[in-house]
Amino acid sequence: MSCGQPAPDETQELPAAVAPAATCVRCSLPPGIVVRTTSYCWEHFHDHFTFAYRKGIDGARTRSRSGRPQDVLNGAKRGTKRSKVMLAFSGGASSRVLLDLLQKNSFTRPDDPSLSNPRFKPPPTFESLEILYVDESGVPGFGPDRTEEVRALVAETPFPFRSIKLESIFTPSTTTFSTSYSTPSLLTSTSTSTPLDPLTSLLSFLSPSTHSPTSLASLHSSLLHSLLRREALSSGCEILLTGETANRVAIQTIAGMAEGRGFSMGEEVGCEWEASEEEGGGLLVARPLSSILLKEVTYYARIRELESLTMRRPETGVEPKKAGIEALVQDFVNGLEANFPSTVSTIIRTAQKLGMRSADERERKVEGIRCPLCGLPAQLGAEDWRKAITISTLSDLKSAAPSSSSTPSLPAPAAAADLPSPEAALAPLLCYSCLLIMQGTLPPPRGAPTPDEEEKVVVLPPYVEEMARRRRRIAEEEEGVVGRRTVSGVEGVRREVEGYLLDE
Amino acid sequence: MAPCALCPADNPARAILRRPKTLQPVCKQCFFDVFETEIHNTIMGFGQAEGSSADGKGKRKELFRRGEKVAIGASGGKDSTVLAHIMTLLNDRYDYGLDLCLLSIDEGISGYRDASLDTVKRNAVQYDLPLKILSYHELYGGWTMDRVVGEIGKKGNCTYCGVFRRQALDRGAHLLTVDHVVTGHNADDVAETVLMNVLRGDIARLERCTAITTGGDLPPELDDPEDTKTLEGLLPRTIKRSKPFKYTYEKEIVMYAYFKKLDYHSTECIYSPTAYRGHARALVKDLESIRPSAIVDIIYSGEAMASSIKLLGRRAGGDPGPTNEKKGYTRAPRNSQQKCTRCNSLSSQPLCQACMLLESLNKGVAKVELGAEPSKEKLVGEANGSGAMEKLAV
Ligand SMILES: [Zn+2]
Ligand SMILES: [Zn+2]
Ligand SMILES: [Zn+2]
Ligand SMILES: [Zn+2]
Repeated sequence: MSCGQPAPDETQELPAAVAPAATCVRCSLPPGIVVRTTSYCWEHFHDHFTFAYRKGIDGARTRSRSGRPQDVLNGAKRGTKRSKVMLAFSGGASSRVLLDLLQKNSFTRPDDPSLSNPRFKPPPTFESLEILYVDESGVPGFGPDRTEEVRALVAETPFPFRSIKLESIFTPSTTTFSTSYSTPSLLTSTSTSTPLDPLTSLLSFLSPSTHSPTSLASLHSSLLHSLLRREALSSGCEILLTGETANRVAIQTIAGMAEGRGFSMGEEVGCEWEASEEEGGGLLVARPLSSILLKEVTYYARIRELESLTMRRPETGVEPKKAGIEALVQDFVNGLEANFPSTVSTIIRTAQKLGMRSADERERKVEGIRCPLCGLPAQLGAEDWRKAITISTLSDLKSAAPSSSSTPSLPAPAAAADLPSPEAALAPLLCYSCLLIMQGTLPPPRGAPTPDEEEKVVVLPPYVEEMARRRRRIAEEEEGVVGRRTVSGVEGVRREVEGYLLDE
Repeated sequence: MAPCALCPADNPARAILRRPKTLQPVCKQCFFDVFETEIHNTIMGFGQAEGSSADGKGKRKELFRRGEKVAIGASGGKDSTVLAHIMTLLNDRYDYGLDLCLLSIDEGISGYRDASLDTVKRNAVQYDLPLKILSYHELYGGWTMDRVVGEIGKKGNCTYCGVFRRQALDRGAHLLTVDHVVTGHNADDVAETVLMNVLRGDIARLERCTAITTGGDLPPELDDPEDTKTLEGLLPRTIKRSKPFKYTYEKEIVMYAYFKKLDYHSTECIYSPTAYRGHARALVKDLESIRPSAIVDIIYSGEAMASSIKLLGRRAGGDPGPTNEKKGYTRAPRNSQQKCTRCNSLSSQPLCQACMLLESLNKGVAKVELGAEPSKEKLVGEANGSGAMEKLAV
């Protein structure tokens, strides 16, 4: 169209920066920081910041007090035991500030002399806190192992510290689970020969010769978050806390949209979500700083003299436009925020209004569908959708040809020529975004053998196999069953009789 | 040159282009085939993520009904020229049974519209389609776009152009007694609008810009084809508008027009979009250069995010959402539709957008606040609303 499609309020540009006030909004002191349009002195900023943190941690606090939903349903008393918490600690300013906030606000003991009102003695919000650092130095471009530096940062806190290598997501493995990129349906196979060592598996999985920088970053992030969830669950934690700020969340929203992650956007950028279903336990993943600007976090860290590591972009040696979608979007959002300081808060306000598939499933008591690779809600039929509007094989093209009947239609999805054993295909199980990554591998370099001559086989982490197997089992169980209602035994009975029960 | 990636592997033709959407090398015939087939799939409802529910059992919604009278919004530019060609071709090839015509709006932009209207007139002959041309001059009491620009300057005039054109299409559709208007909005346009709405925090409009069809609303309880037949004449409804090119790349439309030697007018509208849309447009182009599928990926995300608004349970921001307990979680009441007191077109307010803009122009007021925007808090209402914004929805 000649004029694009102007929306009626396009004339309303975003408000540009307004000159900040010369004094704090609540007292006459000179301001130390301007947040959006409000000026604060340190003390009043501290109040504002602590309030924002309390709001951000509220979901986790509620969870800690009321217990896991399934425990409550199974008859456990509410509030008798607090939850254990795992903090994913990167060593950056945000996670260092989150740790400080947790220590000061959620773990104050009744005998703490710093309590301003000694008559009000709240018990700690959580049972305990474990700090987990994931060493990503195995990933090319991520520099040396910084575990000891990170350990030193938290040495003075009362919390236990543990570190784990990213490649340990490839353990334990007694078999080698792999997929072939040469088949569009991503046929998988399990071999019982000696499994590769974890680092070799990681390097095979995150190979720059197979994937673009965008895909590598996304796969890396899937591994990291799957590892964090696994470690939290195996340490008996019911809550996993991560330190994304509003700026991070805004970038993830736009970058995630561009990478086709819209279906699970609420889970990926929201304040918290229930991650459990397929991973065997109740785990709340929460982001208490997700409504707080990076600028505020940095100011707090500076005044509180909290030391942190300087985070570096992985050294790829290329400009952002070529370094992948996230790097590009980061520059875009930062640039826009510099001109329109409300950009970040507007984006996160939008994102926070989204509904979440995981929450909806919980409400409707149905079992969710999770992508075996990223562990997030996946839309069934993503592959068919993609094939219909982006045709890339002869068979998909032919399948839409007009037939003799007057109502043309696509054939069943299984008609694709390369699906001899659909039960081994990974593609139909993946979310749209992971499908893009796994089907969009780079062509072999010039002079290299063509895919026909050399199979591109890659080792997958064992959790992918486990989740894929679970998905297939659910699919088998549901064969011929209408609907997806899967109220489990005890819970189902409880719901049946609920109306007849008296309070204990 | 590489062999075509879509031809049979034993005897492929020589590829003559790299498809912008996939970067696959393809021959001319295969390019035509995928281009046309993807649009056909879109029309058949296979490309609507919005239509499929989380469990994959959502019903597929075809864009058209057999026997429907469909007007093609024709500007003479590449998008609408290719649209006229494709609609004629597919209607014939797949026997959709549609009664097609061309509807063109003369905005009165000198040096831009005159030549492109000649193109539209030639298209009408080439595709043997009836053509109706409506001018702003006759619709809006002499206010051509040139006069509007003379009054308010160049900034923001696309707003006027858009509001006027939308209503002009509706009025034209009534005059031609059509059921459905198709427009040439392509995937690049939609992706841009999706990003822009997120950057502006306008989640309500996100739903409408990702919907392949807007308008034509009936109360949900009547949303049944049988009822529709008997009742449609009795109920007020906006004209349906659809975007068959929703998943079609702008670059491929240009290539298709080029290789098919289609007769189109290539001058872009001389009145430029706002700076804000410019930011979104630049981002879409950069993203596409990193990953060619990014354009459809953004649209997929936009659709999925828009449909998440109706989900039960807590929101991403922690607010409690609608729950299952309240059985029959109902949509917020629709804005009651009424008729514009001045021009009789459907509007949620006493005066429709076009008439409000006209009034401001006639009074010599340079800028007017456009229709009272529904409160940002009434999300559900907004998301389902069919008020004034509906007609303006992208
Ligand atoms: Zn103060
Ligand atoms: Zn995934
Ligand atoms: Zn070919
Ligand atoms: Zn009116």
